[in-house]
Amino acid sequence: MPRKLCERCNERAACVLRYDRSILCRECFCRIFEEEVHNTITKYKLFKRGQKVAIGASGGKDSAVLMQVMKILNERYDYGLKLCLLSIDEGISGYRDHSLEEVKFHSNNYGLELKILSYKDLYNWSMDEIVSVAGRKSNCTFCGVFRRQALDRGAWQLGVDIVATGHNGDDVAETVLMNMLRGDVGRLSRCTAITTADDPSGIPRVKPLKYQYEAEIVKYARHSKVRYFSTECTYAPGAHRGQIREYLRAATKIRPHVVLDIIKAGEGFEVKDGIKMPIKTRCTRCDYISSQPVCKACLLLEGLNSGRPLLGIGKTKAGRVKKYKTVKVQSEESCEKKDNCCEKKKSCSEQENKSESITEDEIETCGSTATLQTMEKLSIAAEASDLF
Amino acid sequence: MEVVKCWKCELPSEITIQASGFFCSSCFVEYFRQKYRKIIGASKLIRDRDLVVFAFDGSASGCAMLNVISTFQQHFAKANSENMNYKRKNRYITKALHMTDSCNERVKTALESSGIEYVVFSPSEEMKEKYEKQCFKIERFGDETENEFNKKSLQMELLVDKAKEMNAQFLMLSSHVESLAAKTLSVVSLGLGEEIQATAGLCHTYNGLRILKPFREMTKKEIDFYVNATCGEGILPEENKEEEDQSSIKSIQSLAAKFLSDLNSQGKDSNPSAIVRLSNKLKMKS
Repeated sequence: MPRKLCERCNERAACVLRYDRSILCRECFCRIFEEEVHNTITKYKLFKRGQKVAIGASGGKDSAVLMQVMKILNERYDYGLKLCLLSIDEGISGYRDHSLEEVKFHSNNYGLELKILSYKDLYNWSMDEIVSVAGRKSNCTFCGVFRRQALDRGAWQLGVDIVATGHNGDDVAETVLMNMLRGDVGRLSRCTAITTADDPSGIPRVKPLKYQYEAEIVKYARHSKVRYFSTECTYAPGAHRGQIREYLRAATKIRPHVVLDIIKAGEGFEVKDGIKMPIKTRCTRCDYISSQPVCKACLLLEGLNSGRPLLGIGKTKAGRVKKYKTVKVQSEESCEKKDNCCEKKKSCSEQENKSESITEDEIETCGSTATLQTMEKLSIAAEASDLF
Repeated sequence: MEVVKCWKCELPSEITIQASGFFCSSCFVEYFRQKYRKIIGASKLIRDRDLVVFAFDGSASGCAMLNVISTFQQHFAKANSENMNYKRKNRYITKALHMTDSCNERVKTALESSGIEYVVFSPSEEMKEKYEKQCFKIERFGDETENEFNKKSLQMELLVDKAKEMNAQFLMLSSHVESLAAKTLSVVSLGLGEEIQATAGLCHTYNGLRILKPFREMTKKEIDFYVNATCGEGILPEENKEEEDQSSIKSIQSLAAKFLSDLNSQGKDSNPSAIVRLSNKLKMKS
């Protein structure tokens, strides 16, 4: 049975099946992939002539493909960009040390300047050390927050105008779904932006691979013989994103267009007027942009350095202390206000060890007698309040 | 071993509601009914003498809503007959509407025992063809997902048309929080972000008729418990369908429902309500 021919050139044998079920030969597929990235760059005007661009390079498939495609397009279409590589060493042994070897290879191969920043140098903590004290449940929170800041610092040190990251369509779709599951309206409204315009250092970040499928990036890497490090992060199993990734993979099998559809839906979202949003301010310690007086990175570092690694993880918000009280209420016979007890009309009856979270204002206005007792958890919250 | 007590009375609790507490059976039934009443009242949408048509589908949530509505109707009728002097608010008229190709005996029994005026109708093939042309459809790939979406769209079109024929001002649906969250997730997966408000919001307008979903804050667990607690009053819930195997799932809608159900079983039961509450905060870019 003769092999099917490429649908584009009709000359060579087809060997790549795309997400839209078209079949192409290797050369046409690679060319189309590069053209799609070029269309994204020109449509959204990601770069300007003469800019110095740092490519966030981890050694994985996304950044390796991004490096190759940017180099090719820069020459083919004469973007006039000066490219360099920026890597972050989180200090994950058996993972990051191997992937950085690939980055160094690419740096030599393409002749691009490479800057490596490590968590150890920046924060005095490596991810292995963080996981050993904080456990494996929230390690992605530490890594994500620290890496974001580290990228900005590295970009500033390199003196670049823009940072390009290898976030692909699957990453963006997963982020949309994650933010929906959390009900995080603020992040949902901006997670699909292809350019982040308001970084504190003034260095924006772009995602040229935003509309490319992860599976197609793997195919491109294979057919273009791009070297990359393919092992998953040591601390990735169990991450919440993994469950969403599984959903997305199953959904892509049922309906291949689902990734682009989710991105399209996410791009259309806007927060309604009158919804309270976090106000952007500056961290009082490091001057990084933050919605709280102390940014998340400083809060996490404070927790690590003071032996409270879960400070900043979970629902306790920086700057706000939640107090728990044990309320002892008078019996019905003696209380005069039995029907109108407090503004919220709590019934007045004998209760034992009933804990409610009530604000200080409610205590002041409450007519019944109440005793304040801070529980063990509050000792952490009280200590956290020392930060502010 | 300490037994957790109902927060309202001193009886042992039989159900735990996240963020609301522990209830015994009878206190929970009362809480459930008052929660429904509060949602309707706080919305301030329904006015006196409005006709509200409730689309009854025979599911557990449909049975629960039927029971709640009939309870309130009996209460109002009793108060009226005793000439009780109290402020009449939300004295709207409710009728049940059941759309089917062949009427189920169980459904008929439930409708008759509720005491609510009801209409059972079977749309003809010509009617279905007519509305299929005018209702909102997706026809990109012709897969199972699109078929399911288009089928639901047609059902909604038929229900709305019948409700308008009955001169109703509102059409009430009994969708609970998990089903709405799954629908929202599938609607986003289809690229229809603009439908998020219509899918998960409390009220939206469709073809000139307002669609209400007062059970959007009720979980499946609460509804099942309510139905079991009140089923002695003549309403029997539908038998539970067996869970689908991952390999047999052919549509995004089923996959989304299974995904949320799996998250729920891992203790992440706040996700469905977080998704539904999003509809209150988001709009589409113009």
